[in-house]
Amino acid sequence: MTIHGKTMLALCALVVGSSSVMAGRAFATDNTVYPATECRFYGPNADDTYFDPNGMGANGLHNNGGAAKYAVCPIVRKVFDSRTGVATLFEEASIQISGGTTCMLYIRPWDGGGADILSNDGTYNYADGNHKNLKFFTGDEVTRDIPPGASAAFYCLVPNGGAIYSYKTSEGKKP
Amino acid sequence: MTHRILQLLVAAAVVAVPSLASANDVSTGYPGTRCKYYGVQGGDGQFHLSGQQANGIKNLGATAYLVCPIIREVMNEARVVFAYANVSGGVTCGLYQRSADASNTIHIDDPSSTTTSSNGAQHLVYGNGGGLISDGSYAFYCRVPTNGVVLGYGFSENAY
Repeated sequence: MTIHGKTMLALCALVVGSSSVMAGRAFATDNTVYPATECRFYGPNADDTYFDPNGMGANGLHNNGGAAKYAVCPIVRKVFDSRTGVATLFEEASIQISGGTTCMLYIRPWDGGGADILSNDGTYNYADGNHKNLKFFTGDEVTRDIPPGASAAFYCLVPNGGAIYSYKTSEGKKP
Repeated sequence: MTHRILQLLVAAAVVAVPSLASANDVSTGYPGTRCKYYGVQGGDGQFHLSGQQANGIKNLGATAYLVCPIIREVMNEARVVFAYANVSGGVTCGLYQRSADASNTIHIDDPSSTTTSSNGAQHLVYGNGGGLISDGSYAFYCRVPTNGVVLGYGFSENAY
């Protein structure tokens, strides 16, 4: 092979590689992280005397109201193609909590029909033993179909003294 | 002929590389109406949305704080390209990041640059090139005097 031939091959590889990275990037970085200040009291705002970000570094919410209460944490879906009817997958959905907080994941069809209510399938405890990461789907091992047009949100019961720190999702097109 | 193809490939590569770099920047922008009173929501009798054309939030009471959550688009290794808050009426903001296990909190209190428009609104820019905590969450924390307004805010990060 001539030097021109090798150079051309290298340049072809560079161009093709660059194009494929750009083309694939839209779904390769479909991860999303939310501070728990995105979450809200499950009820009218005026009745929320419980969930307070104070002392949580502007990123979390804790319940200081003296009674267990529910919060919802909305998920912004990033792969959403209701026009073609293409279903997608959650490769991971997780929420970071403490103080006995428990959460479920609600996936609701576009027409408001019965939601698919999911419990966490894995718990990772952080070093302090109190702070936990609830995982609903874990990487390549388990994924979950999301119907076209559906919405999703966490629903958490937070005891007095409990907290939500952050939550995250990873969504991709169904192969 | 070979030389001509080579020239075309070089030109294509030169065009592709800079656009790839910019394609890695992931940016999100938010209206100020996404911000929330820094306290229990039932205690918020002072932040109003009316008169702000659906995009701003104004404090009609005594000085109080708002938190403005950011939805990160790149979860793992990334760095801040910039974050900004658009404000008026003497509002000041800090950018808070916190690790998923809550063991590490970093806040940037002062903007690296401030631009003031002819109507007095300010564009506060933070954290140019600063590091991100992997899987960390981000939010602005703003001190809002009486009649202060948060008009909007945004965040841009870059995957390594």
